[in-house]
Amino acid sequence: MGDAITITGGYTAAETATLRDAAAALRAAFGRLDDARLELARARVALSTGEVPWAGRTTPWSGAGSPRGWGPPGSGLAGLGPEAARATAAALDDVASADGAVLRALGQLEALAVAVLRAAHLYEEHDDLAARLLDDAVPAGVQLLAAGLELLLPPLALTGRAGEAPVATVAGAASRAFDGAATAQQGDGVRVEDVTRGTVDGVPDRPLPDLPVAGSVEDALGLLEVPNKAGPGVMAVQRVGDGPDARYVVLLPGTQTWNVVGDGAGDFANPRDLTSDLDLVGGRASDYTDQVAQALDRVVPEGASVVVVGHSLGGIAATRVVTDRALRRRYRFTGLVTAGAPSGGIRVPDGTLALNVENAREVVSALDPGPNPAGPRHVVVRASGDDEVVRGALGSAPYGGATHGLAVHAGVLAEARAKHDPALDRALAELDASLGAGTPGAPTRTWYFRGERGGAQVVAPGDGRPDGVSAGVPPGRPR
Amino acid sequence: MTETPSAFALSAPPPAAVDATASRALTAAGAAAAEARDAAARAVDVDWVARAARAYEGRVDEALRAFGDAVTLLDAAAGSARRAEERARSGAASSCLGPAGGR
Repeated sequence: MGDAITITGGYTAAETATLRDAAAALRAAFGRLDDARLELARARVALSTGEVPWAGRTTPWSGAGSPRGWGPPGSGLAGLGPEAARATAAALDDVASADGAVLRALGQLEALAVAVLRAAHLYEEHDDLAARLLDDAVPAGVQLLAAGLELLLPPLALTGRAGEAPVATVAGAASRAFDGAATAQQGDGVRVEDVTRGTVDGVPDRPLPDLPVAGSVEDALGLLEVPNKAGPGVMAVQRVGDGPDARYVVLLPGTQTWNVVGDGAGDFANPRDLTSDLDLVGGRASDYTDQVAQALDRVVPEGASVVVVGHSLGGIAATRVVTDRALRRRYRFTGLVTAGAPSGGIRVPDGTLALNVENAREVVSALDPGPNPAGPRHVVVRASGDDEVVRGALGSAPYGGATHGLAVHAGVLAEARAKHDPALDRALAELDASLGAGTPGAPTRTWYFRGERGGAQVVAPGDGRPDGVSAGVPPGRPR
Repeated sequence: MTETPSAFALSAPPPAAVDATASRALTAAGAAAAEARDAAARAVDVDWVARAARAYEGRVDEALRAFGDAVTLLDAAAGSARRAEERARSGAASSCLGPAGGR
């Protein structure tokens, strides 16, 4: 698999020290194997020449020099009798076999030591690297987005303010304009409605299913397809277990419509649209996160344990939700999982174990103001595109459209899981447990919520709504 | 091919020196390999380490097996060398005493 998938973050200093100790032990093993090779060389000399020069003796160990020798002429074995010569030749063969075995052991040991050193070294390096990159890296995809928006929006001032990441400024400026356009058409605010019927398996107006307990993070990503296809603006909240131990899984699917400027009633109803994308990437409140906040308020008791799982737009919405201070005071966000989400640059507090899955062949996760900040409680799995899953997706859709799909992200995570990286293993064990993997028979209940914009006040274009008006995530710079 | 004379003068060794050569070196090699195997096994006995190694394509089980093979083969080589030395010693002894049955 090589470096097709990289895993960063998730380590502790103690574990790194353990790996370094192990590396030292392996180095000691190297030394002893080298000693073994030296002894083997001595044995070979002794058997071949009948001499033991390393012991300070220049004397033959046999009857070498006898005129009736059977060994090779000129060798120290020349004077051996036939049985002794045969036994010596057999011993030399055995020495050659043993030497080969020691060499093979050395090769294996080297691979083992390199692997352990890489594991120990990588994690220390990445902790620093992530912090450094946060301040100055802007992915190419973001620059492309910025360039595209410049063309679309010539009247807007796109120059970044001091200290603000360029893309945040661009997306923020753009979304302020779009927000104004939207509110001028439809008014502000998101109406959230509990829905029980929707599209299931492609058939409209069917009862929406009670989702099973996710056996793993990959399963949870798969469950996202249900609210994703249930209807416009739908998201889901699942309760796993009941009573005081119940925990909640919030499932936030991605963008459904690509509206940025409304051209008539209904166009802006769905908060799962590009306007929310731009709001969230720009670090502002969004109607999608407002919807999530309202949904949580309705069904999740204060203090409950919550895992938020999101794909694409849903991933950045999930990140904004779990990092929102007001919401963190109400709920215990134990886990965050994003797939293909432009959530880089947002520091998730350590109380929440975060996992980002992305790949280099889809542009969406690059549309953020910085890399994902890997750390002891924040693991990033990134496929380079050379791995099997992404290569397969590229093969099925040569222009890369398929590489952003949920199945691809789940596949990349499964590939990464199979590596058994200690950091990822630990993070997945914790997240799997939070999702309910340890209690597959636990009772569940699933609520579906449809968000719909519109209804309330109408504000002037470009004005935007006042920050913090809705119950959702307050705007501001990514934390 | 030109034969190169040994740089070391030949003379009859005492029996103890015979045993002290190839077989003893091989026994020492076996002991060193066994210590290397134990050190590697201790290193990867920590679950985190074994998993980290596997994550980065270190083949832990194969490595430990390779160590085991090396130790086994070194033991076998030491045994062979011992037999060769015994044969040589008995040959040397018989040459001192004359061919067996020749008297």
